[in-house]
Amino acid sequence: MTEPQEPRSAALEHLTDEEVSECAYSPETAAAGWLEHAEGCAHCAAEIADLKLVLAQLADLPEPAFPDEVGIRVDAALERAWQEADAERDAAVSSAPRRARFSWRRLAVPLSALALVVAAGAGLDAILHEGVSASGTATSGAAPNAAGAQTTDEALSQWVLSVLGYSASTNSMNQSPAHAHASTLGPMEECKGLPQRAGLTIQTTSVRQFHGREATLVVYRNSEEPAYTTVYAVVYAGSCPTSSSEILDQGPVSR
Amino acid sequence: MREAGRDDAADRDCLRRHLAGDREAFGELLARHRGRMWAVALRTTSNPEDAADALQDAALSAFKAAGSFRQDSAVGTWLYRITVNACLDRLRRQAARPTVHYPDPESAVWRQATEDPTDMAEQRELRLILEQALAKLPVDQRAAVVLVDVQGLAVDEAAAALGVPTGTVKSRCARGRAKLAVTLRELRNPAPDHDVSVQIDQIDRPTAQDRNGVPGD
Repeated sequence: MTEPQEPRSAALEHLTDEEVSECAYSPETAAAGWLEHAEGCAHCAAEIADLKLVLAQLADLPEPAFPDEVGIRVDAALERAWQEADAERDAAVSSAPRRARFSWRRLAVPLSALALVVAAGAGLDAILHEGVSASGTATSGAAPNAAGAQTTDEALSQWVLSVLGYSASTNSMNQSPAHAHASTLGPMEECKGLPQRAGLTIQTTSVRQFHGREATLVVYRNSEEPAYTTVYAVVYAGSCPTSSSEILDQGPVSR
Repeated sequence: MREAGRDDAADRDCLRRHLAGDREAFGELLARHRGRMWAVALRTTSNPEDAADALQDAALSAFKAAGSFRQDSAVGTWLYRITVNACLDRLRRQAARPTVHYPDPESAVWRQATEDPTDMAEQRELRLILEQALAKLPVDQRAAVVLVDVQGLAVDEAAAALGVPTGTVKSRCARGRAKLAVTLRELRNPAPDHDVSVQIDQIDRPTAQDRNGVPGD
């Protein structure tokens, strides 16, 4: 590469193509040495003049008219591109609900189970409302037995009815409730700390073996239910239960 | 310059609307540039059929790549770049069967490209020969000369369009211009019994370096 400012002999060394090009295309940025050389070198001066003519001819080439048929082709291609973009967008939109359905299907089993639990809870609540208490629930301790009034353990029902003075065989809604009132609390009066239930009061208690274990029956009643036809019974493990005692069985019992 | 800035702002607005889903916006942008894109494609490929294919490729590429347009260049330069690349891709795919297309004087496309109603016959012939000489240049030199000397882009704009350094553009232009100058000089001083087609064939054949597109700078 020749140094820009280096004087050169016109006879010995002409400008390169790039130097000629720069002198013709952009003389204001060409090295002064190149321009000086061209002034004293007929060959390079002619090269630069020829190149200026070429540049003028190139710049003067008219812009070709844009053919209509090419415009039609390009427009059609772009229309197809829009259609493809629309199809891709539609596919994306339609796949979104499929994904949603898939998710719901996957959740169907756990949701159904949850619904059953809720329904069971609601059903028990309704039973408790109807059978034990119209104003409160007996849920301060463990969850009530989901078996409900009609399915309470038979041994528990018999125990409750016997404690209340009704034999299983004489279980009747027509019996006088006054008799049941007579044994309020009973033998557990000395036992402090019996488990309390919200909205209910303890009617009576009883201690005996229950399914092979020493157990205490606590009979709760709803004081706002004037008929006293249904009580709520809980069997706790041990002879002097507290709120932390193990619950062996529980449920509503109707006379 | 201020007008160019306004044009670019309008171009950017078209792109923004296109990306927002406006179906007319990209057509508007293309309508503003397709004449120059066609000129670049026609002169870079030297063949109307290839130019039409390349322009279609370029339009679709720009349509799909609008979202990746970087704000560091003018939209017009970006479109030139896409057009030149579409042409070069097409020409490189044809490299296995190299065929130099010469502008056909009977072709309506080339007549439109070289004729000016005010031209004298001699001027029309000179332009056709210049187009033919341009077509003979190695494609990388041709693309540089088309962008800088025909379309009038600044060297740095052409460099951005071609994705090469400015020095490479200068070098390619210099070598291409030198070959064109030889052609025109010979036209002015025709050798006895030499017709134009023979003179065109006497232009330096592309070297292996030229054909591979390796810049010789």
